[in-house]
Amino acid sequence: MQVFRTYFKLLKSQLLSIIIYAVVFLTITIAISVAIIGSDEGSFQIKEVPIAVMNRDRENAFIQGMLEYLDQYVDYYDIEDSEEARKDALFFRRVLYIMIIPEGFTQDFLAGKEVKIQKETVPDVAEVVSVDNAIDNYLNKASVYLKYVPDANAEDINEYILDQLSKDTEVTFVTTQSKKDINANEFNRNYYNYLAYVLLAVLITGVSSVMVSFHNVDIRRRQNASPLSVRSMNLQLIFANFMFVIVYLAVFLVAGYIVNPFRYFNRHLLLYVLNAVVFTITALSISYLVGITVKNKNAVSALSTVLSLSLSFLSGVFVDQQFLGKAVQKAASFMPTYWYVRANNEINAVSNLNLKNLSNVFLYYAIELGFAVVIFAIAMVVSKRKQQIA
Amino acid sequence: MSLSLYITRLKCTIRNKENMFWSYAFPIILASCFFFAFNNLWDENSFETIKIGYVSDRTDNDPLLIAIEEAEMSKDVPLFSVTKYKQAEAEKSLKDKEIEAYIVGGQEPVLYIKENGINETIIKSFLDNYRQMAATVEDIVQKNPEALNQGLLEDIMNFKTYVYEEKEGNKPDYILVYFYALFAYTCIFGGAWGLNEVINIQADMSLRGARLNASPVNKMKLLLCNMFAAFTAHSGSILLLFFYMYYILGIHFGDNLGAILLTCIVGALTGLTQGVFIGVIFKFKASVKETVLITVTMLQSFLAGFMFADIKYIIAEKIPFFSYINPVNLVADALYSLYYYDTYDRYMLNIVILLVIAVVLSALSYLRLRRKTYASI
Repeated sequence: MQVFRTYFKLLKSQLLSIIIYAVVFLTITIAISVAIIGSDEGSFQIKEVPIAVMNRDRENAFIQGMLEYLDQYVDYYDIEDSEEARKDALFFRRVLYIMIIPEGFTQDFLAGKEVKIQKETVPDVAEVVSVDNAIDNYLNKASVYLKYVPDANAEDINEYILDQLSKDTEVTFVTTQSKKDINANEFNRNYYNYLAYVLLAVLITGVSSVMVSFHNVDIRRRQNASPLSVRSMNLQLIFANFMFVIVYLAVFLVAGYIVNPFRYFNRHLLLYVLNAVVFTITALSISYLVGITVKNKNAVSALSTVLSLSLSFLSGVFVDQQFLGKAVQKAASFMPTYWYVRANNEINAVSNLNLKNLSNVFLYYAIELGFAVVIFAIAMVVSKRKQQIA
Repeated sequence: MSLSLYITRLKCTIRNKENMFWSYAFPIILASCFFFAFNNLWDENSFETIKIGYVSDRTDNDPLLIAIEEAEMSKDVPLFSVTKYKQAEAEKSLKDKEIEAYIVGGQEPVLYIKENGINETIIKSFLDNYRQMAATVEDIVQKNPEALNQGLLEDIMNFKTYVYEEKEGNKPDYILVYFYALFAYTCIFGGAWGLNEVINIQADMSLRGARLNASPVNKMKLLLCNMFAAFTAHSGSILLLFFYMYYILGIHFGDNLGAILLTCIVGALTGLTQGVFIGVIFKFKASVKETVLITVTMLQSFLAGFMFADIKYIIAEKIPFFSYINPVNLVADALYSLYYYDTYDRYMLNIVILLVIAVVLSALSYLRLRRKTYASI
């Protein structure tokens, strides 16, 4: 077992970076996952949007009433009325929406004139729509009252509108899974998606840099002259590779279970694990190919970073796949990471696990394995070529 | 003499393939990755329309369904994308996350949801408002029976928008945090060049350092020439990245080109000095120093929102001191200030702090490095 032992001696030189990857990965994943996952109960709650109101009109009953109505949808924050302060508040997202009521607003509105409220917002967030709607809803109702009940004053209008708040829609929560299940699955989906990146980065760093050493021309010539058969050497190498990969994967599977704040064992987790195992084989094939084609170790670390990052970014490991452009998705479907992430998302989406619902998941597993087979085949060809040179 | 030292060193630097890759090619690859991955996030229509299902007990002219279909979140952008279902199908789609919610229409519509979130709030408030509008009509008719003849229904249908946004100035942009952080990372990761230079000149760190110590050239002069060469190579990578991001990817950087270039130069300088400082202050092997440098830079980048933009906001909110001593954040923030604020106060603050950091680190490194002699190595 000399080759086997040498493999791990060589791997030791990469140990530091492998450990750093693992630690950084776990810290970041936990930080992000905990930040993303909310803990809401099984009843409807309005999600209140943090806003600031700059009232440049005078304080009056009408504006009071409007703000009272809005209060059900928003949280008010105090912010100084200056350009700098407003921009800061939006930049740091202390508020998502700033509502600027212009001077003379109440008077003009009550007189039936055209009025506008100015807003400053954080772009591209749905929260803004919620506040827009609430303001429009109130003012539309108020203007109708104003027109058709002419003797009503501002207080009356507020009263009428607030009276109708009792007419709200019944909300039913649809869940077959417990909250704990859903949260655990959501965490696992994120964890296993990010895992694709770390597996690729670490396997390429570890496996490839060792394989580079073994595939050095001089080393191979020396090996060919030794009494150790090529077959035995290859078997030991394969064995060593699998050993390393399995141990490393196992560490992450256990860690993923421990760091999950909902620490929960369910059938979904089993599917995630299976997906990770399948993907690891693919990642191993990529690392092997890199290891036998690249000539020096510096190139390995460069390739490891480039491959792991670009495969991850383009396949939706970090950014949800639905946000990727159509062209990017098309291109990404030629990458195994894409199918790995897709399988994870699918597992998370299916609540009722049965063979019919899971057929897609198994199809994605198969595609990942297909990639592994093809890449290994290419590696074999390259390896044969190299043998002829040695 | 100095010029030839500089040119020789510049050649050495450029031939360092590994460093060249990490500072020239890597940021560009990463910028492209960001660009492709985030491209769609810029396009607001693609993710804000809320997918919902609708279960109707009527086949034609369901007023609620029409109202839902006509609702707009802004001009010509629909608020909801509705699919009609049978109840069982709707429930399945909801569970499979194809839709965010579904509504069962009728006299008193019921909303079915799976989780609490802003989209659920929007749907709920839309439905509430729909019902309250009906109540409003009833109420008004009671108070003024003539209202229907006077055009009440038309007025109800004619839903006006009262809020507007002025389109002047740049808006806070979440995605830019990533690009600026990447840019700042490139500036500060120039520390690798600086580290290389001091390893090269310290006799106990490298063979070449030992050789240089035996040579008659003035060490400080040599170090200055070498640093200048490193600075040249490093600035080149930053400018290349800037041109790639600005002209090819079309990332917004604000309009003040001079100020951007100043940020590049100050950032490059601070990055170099950080590398020098790490190279001088610790007593480890060269390879360990490299790891320390990478770890420190990565950590700084992480805190500046390189991997997850929210971190930048969280740090600024919870531990603002950190964001003022983190050079990666300072560079990123300087760029952001240029893009976002009309005034230069915040930009200047960032630049000044960066310069202070550069001066302090250089001074400390200088004190450690000067007049060092070795009795034995």
